[in-house]
Amino acid sequence: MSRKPRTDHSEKRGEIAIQAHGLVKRFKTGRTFVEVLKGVDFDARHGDVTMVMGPSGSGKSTLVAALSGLLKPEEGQVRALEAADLWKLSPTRIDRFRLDHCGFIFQGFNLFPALNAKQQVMTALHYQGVPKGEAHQRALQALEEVGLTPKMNQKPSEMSGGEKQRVAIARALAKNPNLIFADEPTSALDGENGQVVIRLLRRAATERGAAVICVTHDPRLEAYADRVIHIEDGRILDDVRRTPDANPAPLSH
Amino acid sequence: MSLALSTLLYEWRRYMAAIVALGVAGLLVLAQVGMFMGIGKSFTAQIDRARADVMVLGPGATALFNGGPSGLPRRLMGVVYRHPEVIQVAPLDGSGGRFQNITPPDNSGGPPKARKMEFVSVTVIDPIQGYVTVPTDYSDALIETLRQPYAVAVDQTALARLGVKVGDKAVYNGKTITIAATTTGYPNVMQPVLVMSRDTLRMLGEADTGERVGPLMVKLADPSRAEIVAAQLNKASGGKFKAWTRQQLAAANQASMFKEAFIVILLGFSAVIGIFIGVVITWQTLRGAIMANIKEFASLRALGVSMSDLRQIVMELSFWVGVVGIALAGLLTWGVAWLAGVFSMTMAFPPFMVVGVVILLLLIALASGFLSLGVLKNSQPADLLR
Repeated sequence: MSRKPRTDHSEKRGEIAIQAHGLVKRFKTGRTFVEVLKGVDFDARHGDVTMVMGPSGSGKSTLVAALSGLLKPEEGQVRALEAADLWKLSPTRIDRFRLDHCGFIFQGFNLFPALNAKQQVMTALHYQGVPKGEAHQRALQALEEVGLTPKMNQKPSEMSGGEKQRVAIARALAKNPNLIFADEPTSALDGENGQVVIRLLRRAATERGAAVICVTHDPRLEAYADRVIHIEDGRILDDVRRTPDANPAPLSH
Repeated sequence: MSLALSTLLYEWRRYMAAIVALGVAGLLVLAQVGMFMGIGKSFTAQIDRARADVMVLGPGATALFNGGPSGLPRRLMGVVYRHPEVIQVAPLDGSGGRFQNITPPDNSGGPPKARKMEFVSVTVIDPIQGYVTVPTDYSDALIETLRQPYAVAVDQTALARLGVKVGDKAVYNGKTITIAATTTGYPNVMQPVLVMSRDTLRMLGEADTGERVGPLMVKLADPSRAEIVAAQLNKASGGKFKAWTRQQLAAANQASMFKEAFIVILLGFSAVIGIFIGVVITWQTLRGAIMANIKEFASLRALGVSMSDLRQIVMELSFWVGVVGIALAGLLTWGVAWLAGVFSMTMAFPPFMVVGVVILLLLIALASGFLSLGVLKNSQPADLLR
């Protein structure tokens, strides 16, 4: 298969991809405000899988939303790639930033029921402005990477949960993102499929140099991380750099 | 294939209500248009199917009927005839009045049964084979029959309504006539039509015998030159008459139906109901369908697809719903027209009305799409993060 000129960011490995200072986010519940993020500092590097762990309600998803330009924090800055302060950009520019640099993997797979695997990936590329021929090739490549070449013409209804999540990953990877945000990517999957998914994310970081930021409360995923950040009650408890296990224990047991 | 079109095809059940609403809204308007136009057309059927390539009307007339006085001074026949390509000129004549059937006396002494009285209209032909006033599908035998004095033909669909059969005598405006033949394919739900010869009409005392005659039917040596000859005649008319090609006049006749206030009111009323029902149902259906896919839309938002791109998807979706709705309206209308045909009722669909309804349905669909855009604000990608 002929390869595109540059399909990854491996040369950036080790560089800081995203950095946040003093993020504060409040939600209004009834008459009172609940502070979900209480001045969080955060950074993540290219080539790393950064795991954000914490119990539910700890603010980890809100942190990802604030980092990725989905939810505006009340205070603090996010410096991401060339954007010195992401939240100072206009909404259109933030959309463009996500379009150019971000991949998302959600707990629910959120695939269009009408589109087959290849079309799901190509739709994302279409909106990025990738020409059709190239989009087609990149979609095939991404699906091959997640091992779904044989299923590329199948619709979500014909796929298992694990396969759907792999399509979502292919959709994110085909964009060749600098930043990949994954929110509980394995929690709707059985152990075996969960393992396939986390391995793909691991590989996206190692081989493509993407900064993978993965929110989870599954402690077994820690084995794949370069860095584990524990967050609780809107504050970072600890931030541990580690070496990913060479042969992590299987998720299913 | 685009996302919008694939979604519509794959989840067609979800969009069915909208498509049916559009189809029925289209049918509501089209069926009435078809009916009114069909009625209009059935009054001019004998003329439309005759051999006149050009028709000459009075200068101010905008249509054959319902378009102002269309007759001419008799002397202008000569002016028209003088054009070298004109081979036949005959004035249109007709009348109308009270028709009664004659039933045999009842021997039991009671009153005669099944007496009927109808108002009819009369169309005249010159009973000569191939003549300009004779419809092309009239058989030689029929023409021969109509040559008999006081012989009339009625369409077979009118026999029951008039209470007669072939061979019966009947009374028309107080004079006895004979139902000598029937025609097929000339139904008229509004008013039965009697066809008779010009001489019969004259003997009944109702023909134009004076200074003025009805519109002129003109046959040309070469029918394909109708447009040119009509233009040349108009140039030579000195404003005293106006020549129309048959197609021009047929279109004008149909348009003249819209001068009838009740037709315009009924059609306008139907259009308003159609628009209302169409918009409400299509809008709500689209809303529901978009809400069902809101998470997928939100995931596109997360990937950086702009709100305006999502709006475009919704508008495209509503466009395709409109296209399918139009197809359904066409199918339903075809079905109704077929059914009407079974009951000998002519329906006619002038292209400008069909185009109008198509545009109307498309606008309904697009307006519904526009109204549905609001739900897209629910596509908050942050909601996908829990």
